[in-house]
Amino acid sequence: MSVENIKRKGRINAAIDDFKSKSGADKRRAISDLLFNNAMYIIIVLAIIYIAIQVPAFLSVSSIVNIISLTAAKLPIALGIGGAIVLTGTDISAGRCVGLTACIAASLLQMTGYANKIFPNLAVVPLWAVLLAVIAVGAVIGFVNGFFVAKFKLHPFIVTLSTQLIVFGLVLMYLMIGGNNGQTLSGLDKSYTDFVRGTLFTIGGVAVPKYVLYSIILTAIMWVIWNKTKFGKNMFAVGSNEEAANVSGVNVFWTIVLVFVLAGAMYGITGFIEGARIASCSANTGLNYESDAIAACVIGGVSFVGGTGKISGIVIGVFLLQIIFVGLNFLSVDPNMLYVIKGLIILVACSIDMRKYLARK
Amino acid sequence: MANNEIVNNSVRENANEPVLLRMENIEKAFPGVKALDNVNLTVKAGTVHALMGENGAGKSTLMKCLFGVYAKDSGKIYLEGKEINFKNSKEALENGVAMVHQELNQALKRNVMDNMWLGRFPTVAKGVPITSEKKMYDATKEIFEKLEIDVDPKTVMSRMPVSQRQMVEIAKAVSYNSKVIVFDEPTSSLTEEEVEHLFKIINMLRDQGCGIIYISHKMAEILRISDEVTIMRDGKWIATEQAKNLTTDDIIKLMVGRELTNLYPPKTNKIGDVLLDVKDLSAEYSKLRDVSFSARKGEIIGVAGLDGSGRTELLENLFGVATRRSGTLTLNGKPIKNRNSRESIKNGFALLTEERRATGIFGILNIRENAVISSLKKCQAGPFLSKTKMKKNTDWCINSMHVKTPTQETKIRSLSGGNQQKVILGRWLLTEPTVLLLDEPTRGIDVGAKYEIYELIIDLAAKGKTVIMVSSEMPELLGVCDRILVMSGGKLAGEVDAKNTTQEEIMALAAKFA
Amino acid sequence: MENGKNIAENKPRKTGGLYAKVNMSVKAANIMVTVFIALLIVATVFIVKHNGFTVKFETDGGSHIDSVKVMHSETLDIKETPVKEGYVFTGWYLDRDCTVSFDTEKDTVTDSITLYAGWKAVESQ
Repeated sequence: MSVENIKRKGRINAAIDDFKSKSGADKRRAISDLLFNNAMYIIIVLAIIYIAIQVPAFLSVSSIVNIISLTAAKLPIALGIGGAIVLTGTDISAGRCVGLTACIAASLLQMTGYANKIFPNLAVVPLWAVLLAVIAVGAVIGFVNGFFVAKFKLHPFIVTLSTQLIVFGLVLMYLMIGGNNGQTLSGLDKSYTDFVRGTLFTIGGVAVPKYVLYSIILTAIMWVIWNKTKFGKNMFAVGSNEEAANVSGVNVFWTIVLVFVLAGAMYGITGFIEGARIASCSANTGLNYESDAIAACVIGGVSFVGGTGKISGIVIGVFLLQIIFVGLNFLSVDPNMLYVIKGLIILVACSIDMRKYLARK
Repeated sequence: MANNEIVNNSVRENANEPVLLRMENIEKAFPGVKALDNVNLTVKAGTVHALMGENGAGKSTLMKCLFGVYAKDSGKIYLEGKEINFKNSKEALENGVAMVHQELNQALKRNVMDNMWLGRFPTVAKGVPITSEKKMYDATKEIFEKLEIDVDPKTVMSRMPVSQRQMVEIAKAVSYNSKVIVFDEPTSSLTEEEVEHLFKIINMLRDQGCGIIYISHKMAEILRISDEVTIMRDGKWIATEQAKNLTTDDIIKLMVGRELTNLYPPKTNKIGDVLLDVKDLSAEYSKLRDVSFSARKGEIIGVAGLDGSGRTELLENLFGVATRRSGTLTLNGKPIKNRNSRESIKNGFALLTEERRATGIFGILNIRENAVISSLKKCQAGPFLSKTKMKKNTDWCINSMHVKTPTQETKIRSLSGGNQQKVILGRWLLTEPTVLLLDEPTRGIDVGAKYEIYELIIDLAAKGKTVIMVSSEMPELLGVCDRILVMSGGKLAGEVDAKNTTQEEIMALAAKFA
Repeated sequence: MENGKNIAENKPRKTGGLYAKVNMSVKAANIMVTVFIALLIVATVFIVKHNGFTVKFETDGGSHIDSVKVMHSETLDIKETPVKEGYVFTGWYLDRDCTVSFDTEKDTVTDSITLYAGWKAVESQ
């Protein structure tokens, strides 16, 4: 660890020396590059400072725990999409996929005796079986996405746009099953809500929910997959230069398919957590989740240029976005208006990302 | 027939050396084209075998058939006596046949060792899917030490110069314990010193008993490094000879199929007054710094330098398609700005881009549309385009450039590279430029067509135009230009008179700031 | 003649990802980024200036109550109660099923919400 730190220090010193050795005009350019490439972070930090001054409650323990919980809830989906972005693709079916899996999880885990139960005769299904089922559903959707992307070289945008619609149709149909008639699914079994929302520990009287722990575990697993496995290294190679990977004997097809399957599994887990977290699932559950996740990934340095990105970057990206969203909530910004800001954040983040990797002309 | 006898003799002479790789009667056809016609190649253990031929002679196609990128139509490939038929490059690698690609096929965002072990990452233990960084690091270090490559295995590829990336690619090929290694134009981005290092590595591999296939256009290199030379032309096998029995002229004769008495046309241009004066030109975003030179009317100025030395950037800055930091341009005594391409065209500049297919032609449009796209104003009748005027201008273009095409409506995609280049050159001449900026005007064009392009260039200069021409082929610069600017590391390393200089002098200058 | 070979040998290089074909100067990119950032800031300032959560009321056939604007952490201060023939108003709820009640005097608003009126049928005499 200390060796790493010394090396890092050396790199920073080298960068400073390099900067000092530059001429006036070069220095100016280096500074403008630094400002432009980090503009998103600068804006976010300034916004946080402004909000904290305006609404001191923003920095209270309960607010911070709220931000952390929200980050934990949105993290798995971003970890999934991150892989697709590393492959220079994207996945816009993610939100609907979360919606479907959340509805499935909720419907299978409704209280016995609840009046509006979607499957009235269903006995108590064990949690692990439901978890595995939604992961499987997510993985199947991911497989479909990945298969079309890898086999027919269709752009992921096209493929996932169509699966998004198909999955939405499936959600609507699923909610019509039995006597449910498209109603919101609520009345969840206590074991389910306890498993997800139950208290992990309390800080200053504010409960931290259990799903924060699950999110940390998932992040750790994804870190190992991205950095320490053949699959992860192949994924980065394919994203960086598909031809090179192919020439070196990497099975490009299965690498792409697996990235999407893994992403799908992540959406399944997100759906499982989300079902209990919001406690009332409808067709609107998961709407536009992918846009937050994509924005978070790009802010965190997972670039559409392909082959770059870090798990830590995604965590930071999701965290920063949630801080902003919670902060705007403290400023009493209507959620409908928030969409405008979200859209512009994606635009700014992606334009900065593109600027970073432009051919220097 | 005569050639065949020579081969048979040489095979007998070397009968004692074991044959490593034998490709027999390879044939491959693409729709409409016979890319390989009965090609033979025999590589012996412990030798360097040069594969030569013009662009489009079928060298790359032959190698792609070896590696299974293309499926050959007929013929047989033997490796150490066993027939092989690789389905993909992975299979080839596993069987000890590796290739160092001309266009570096690397994952630039990843570090050196990730690239080295791509496709076969070592794991911590058998059956555990976790990769071992330590094993990768140690193995990389070991190979680098053996090859005397001074690179940290943890460096990210994109942070290294092209020459070092090339070395990594070579180390990768070696790390497969390959028996046959193919080098495809390995020296185009290397300085003289680096070329020496490369040759040292190649000799080392040869002494270990590897068979090396060396593809290059540089005659001097070929004659120095190789033991045997195979020459191809138009997809056919022409000859295989001992390198020591060959001269540069022999090779060119075999490659072109006829005696080329003059590789370069006679120079008829007369140099006039100073037309363009460039002072302290620096780029904002590339490393081009403080370039000053002046160009005269009717002069052909060559720009030499290694890949990435700032040659292309110089032209882009003159033409205004790259952001300029500082510097002044003076045309005919008047200061000009050339802030963007439209302004430059108005000032009489024209830029022929390096990558014809990417930035030059509109592939799906026909010749006429391609020819008049930059001079539509000339083709207008009132607010509308006049078809007659367009036809007239295109006719002029086709005739004066000697474009070989059935009609004006032919899609430009279906022309040969040389003819495409002529159409684009014609396109720019329609704008009546006074300063022509040519970036690699003969890349990917066969020798015969090259001669015609040279003729056109000299002809243009003779008409009083100034030509500034970037090329990585040094003989071409020496043969066509009047003066040569040598770029190195973004700076102007020197200016030499084309008549009284040598390739060695230029190479030395090119390495000055590299 | 060369055509067939050219097409076959010039496979597009898949590096540069989404930005592989972007031909843009850094200067132009700087302008683009600046414009987008300006847009983001202007929009955010505008939205923050016109802030406030909307609370809507659904009375399920009862008398209509206008929606109100509330700031973060404020309580709802409505005097009006809805009326419906044959029913008695039992309070506001966060869900249609009337399981989670909302106390207009104590509970604070942290989001745009819809409140549902709870009714109890009047015992017929």
